[in-house]
Amino acid sequence: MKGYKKVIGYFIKYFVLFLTSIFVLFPFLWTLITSLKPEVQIFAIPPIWLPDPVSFKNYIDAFSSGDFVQRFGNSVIIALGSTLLSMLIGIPASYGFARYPYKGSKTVFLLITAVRMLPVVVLGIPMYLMMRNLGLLDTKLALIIIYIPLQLTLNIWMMYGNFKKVPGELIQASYIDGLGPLSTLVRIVVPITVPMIAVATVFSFLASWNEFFFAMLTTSSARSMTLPVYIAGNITSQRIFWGRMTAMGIAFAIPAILFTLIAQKGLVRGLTAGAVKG
Amino acid sequence: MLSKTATKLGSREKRSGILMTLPAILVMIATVLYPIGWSLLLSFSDSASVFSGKFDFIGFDNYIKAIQSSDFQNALVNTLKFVACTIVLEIIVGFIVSLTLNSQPPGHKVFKLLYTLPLMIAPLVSGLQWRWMLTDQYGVVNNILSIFGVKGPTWFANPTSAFAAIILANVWLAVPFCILVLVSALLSLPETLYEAGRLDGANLIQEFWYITLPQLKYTILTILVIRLADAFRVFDIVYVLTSGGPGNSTEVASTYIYTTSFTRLHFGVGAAASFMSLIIVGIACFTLFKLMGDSEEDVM
Amino acid sequence: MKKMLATILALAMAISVTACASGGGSSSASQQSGNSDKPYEGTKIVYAGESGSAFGEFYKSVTPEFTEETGINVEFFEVAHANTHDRFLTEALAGTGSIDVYQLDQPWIPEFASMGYLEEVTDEIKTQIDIDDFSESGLSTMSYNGTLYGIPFQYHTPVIFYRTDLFEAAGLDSPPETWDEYREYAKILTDEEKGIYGTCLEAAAVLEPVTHFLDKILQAGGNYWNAETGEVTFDSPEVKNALQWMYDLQHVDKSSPEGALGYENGDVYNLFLEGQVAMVSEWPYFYAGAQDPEQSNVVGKVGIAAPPKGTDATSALWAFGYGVSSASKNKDAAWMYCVWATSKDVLTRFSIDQATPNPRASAMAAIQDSSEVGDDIKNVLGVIDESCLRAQNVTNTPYFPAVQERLSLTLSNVMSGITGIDEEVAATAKDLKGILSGS
Repeated sequence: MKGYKKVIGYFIKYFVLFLTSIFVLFPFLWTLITSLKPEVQIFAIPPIWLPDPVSFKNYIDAFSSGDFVQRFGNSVIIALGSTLLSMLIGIPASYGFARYPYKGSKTVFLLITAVRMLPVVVLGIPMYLMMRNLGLLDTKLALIIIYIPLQLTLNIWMMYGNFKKVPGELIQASYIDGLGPLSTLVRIVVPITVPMIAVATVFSFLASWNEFFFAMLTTSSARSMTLPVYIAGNITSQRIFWGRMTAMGIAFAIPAILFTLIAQKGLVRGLTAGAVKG
Repeated sequence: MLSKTATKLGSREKRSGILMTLPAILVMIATVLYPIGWSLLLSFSDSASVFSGKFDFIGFDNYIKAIQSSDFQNALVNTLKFVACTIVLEIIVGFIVSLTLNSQPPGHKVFKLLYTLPLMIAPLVSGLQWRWMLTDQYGVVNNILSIFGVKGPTWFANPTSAFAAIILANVWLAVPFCILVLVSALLSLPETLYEAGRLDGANLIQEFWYITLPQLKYTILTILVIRLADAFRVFDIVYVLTSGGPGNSTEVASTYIYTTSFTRLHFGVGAAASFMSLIIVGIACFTLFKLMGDSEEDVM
Repeated sequence: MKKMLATILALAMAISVTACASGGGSSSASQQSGNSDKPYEGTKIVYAGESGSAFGEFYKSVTPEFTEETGINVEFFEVAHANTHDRFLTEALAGTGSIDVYQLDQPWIPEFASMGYLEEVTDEIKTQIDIDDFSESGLSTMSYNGTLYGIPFQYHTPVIFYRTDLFEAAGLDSPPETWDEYREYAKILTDEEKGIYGTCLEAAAVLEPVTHFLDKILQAGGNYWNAETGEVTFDSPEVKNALQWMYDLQHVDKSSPEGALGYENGDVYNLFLEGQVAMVSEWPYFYAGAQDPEQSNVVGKVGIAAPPKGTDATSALWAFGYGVSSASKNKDAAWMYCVWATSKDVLTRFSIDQATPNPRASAMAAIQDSSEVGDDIKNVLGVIDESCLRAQNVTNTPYFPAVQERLSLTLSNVMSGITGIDEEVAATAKDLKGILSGS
């Protein structure tokens, strides 16, 4: 009887998991398949399931000029730079707001969170004017500066709940051991909240890696242009270059996947550490 | 508990709080105060100020214009519909999947990894991808449906299916976020709670309702606030998938603000509309805090 | 005095450039060296245009010749088509001066001109390019209030492309000439079982389909406004006829796929090249694509004809051109580029390469005379060029981007049946009055 129930349970579980993973995975897979098709097969009606023959022409087209690689490099520098800085600033800030409230801190916290609720379009022109005044138009630094506040509003809020849940006894104990608030954060709190920090890092990275609007507005050459803007260039007034665009889309997703995998490793390790302590 | 520790350490704690949050506050002031202040001024100025560089104040005219415009009203209604649909779906699917994963069936790690994939896709690329799959004639989705004998809708030809298309694309993009956050929160729940529940004879639904859900209050709040703000600002997906069509049936606040500003060059009205939608999201989030049954003290 | 000297120098320079460019046709002819011939040697100018466009790619590939002749370096500043207007506008209102040459897209020329973001084409430049060599309709696309702000390098209007094989199979021996014939043929050619549609309209709620909508309005004898009096003429039987004709084609005859309600030109292009559509009223660039075996299933099966006439034999004229930003710090060098890029030699090569006409009569004549150009290309260019001469400029208002946006809503609302024709036309007319009066 119990075994029977277990089988049904597994059946339902895997049904849910398979169905949802098809939903999640298929668009990605279809993009990959499209990118490997020769042009004539891309628009076949009804669609051709597997490319025959497999063609790497779209990838060759995408990478041959060297433009892609250059923009790829820009994206990496900007995303890593802004993520690193925003996490360095965001972790103590989030912890400070959560554990050491002072007069007005609540309001400041809410204001920072509220920035996230403003439609970005409205910030386009003033951001542009600001970067012009600083002489930073068409530089990587401009995008790093723009992305840090966007990431901060996300990661401060994301980590806040977890910092809040850290047992007060643990912190008290570390005070007794002679640690100050900052070293308590670094040595005691961060290690047990690694899962959430990892998640916040991933989301900060992705927010920067995938950002389009500000990148479109402030970059104009190979010096600073990021991949989303470059990929959008495949949409022309005459046609959409689906083949080349899907190839670029796949190449664009790979670093994000790697980054998430690495962060996930940290996440799992952090989780086990947390389980032992909790 | 918090107040106890606060009184014990007193001013040292306060100083630590200020020191720890100061860098972030300074960075925010240096980077976004000017753009936001500029836009706020603009929302009370004639749109021509953008070109002349001098603010020409006209009071609340832009706000009144936006409120009275049937386009903005339509965009707001659509946005609210969109936000409600997408968030409900995201949370439901998110819970179903994360609870299933949490029971740790063999291979759950692989599945978890799969679910993170859409996170890494830029909204712009995702929008294009769905347009590519849903398009008439050579779109693959209707082709798959026809294998099962279902005639798929001509997605972008009528308001209902076009709306469904943007919801579909958005849920695809956002569900992994919910799954990931929920899974890590579920993992951190102490097993002892459930043991106690089982001793009391709670079934799975009761367990979820009385044990899991209350424990995940912060997590759900975090998800809701982040997703609410994001869903309210949705732009890329709508822009790429439907451009607000057919007619203006899928026009949302952000696309309205965009065309009002950059196509009609009514930058002042666009700014006013932006701040009004900020207020709406703010109110929605505040209501959420209250609805979650917490006193503000507790949440903060 | 100094200025005059500089102008004369620039003039002499530019004439020598055009002379040698139109003379030999090969850039190696320019062997002159020495600084007096290259007063702007080492100057850098920034060319801002649409990324990935075939026209832009052509210019990117030939621009090294300009650099070799003049010593002026050209840097390309490319923006995706959907964002060019917004991006250039931001750049212009911030007055950064980081753009010298604009690749002008017609819809926003009057807007930029009225705000003072574009330099006028002066009489000296007009002499240098031999302005009389350009067709009047072509120049009108680059003008606002009687002043010329750019030099067109390309112009086009949608024409009929049809499948000769399908026409033959259906017993039709010539392409349609009138609206009635177009509808009738489209119905005959539609074969739902084979998945072949007689034609394919565009009605997505985006800007592109509006260009075809305007064709239909003009062919019905209407217009959205009277450019001379400023009066809005949208609420008229002509406009309603145009909408009715498209609606019937789509919903009564069902000669256009249902998905057309969400299509723009790129989608129609794919369907036509795939072989699913028997005829389309579309842009000239379709031809080059249809003849490319790498992307097309219909190579050698495509005929071309003038746009179908309603009460009027006309259509809307669209052009790309080159103009100089008012904020440019290298205006003389920038104009040299514009002059070079629209010279007879460059335009001749451009039109052959892109199978698209340009408004310079001597360049078009050179193509018809050339023995190296195939008869099919000559025919295609001839048909499009003739259609362009009959076509009209519809963008002569600084508010055109807003007009176009409103019309995209009109078309989408009517075609997807959200609102009835009479109701929508009245509502549009009311909105257009507001838009065109600048409020």
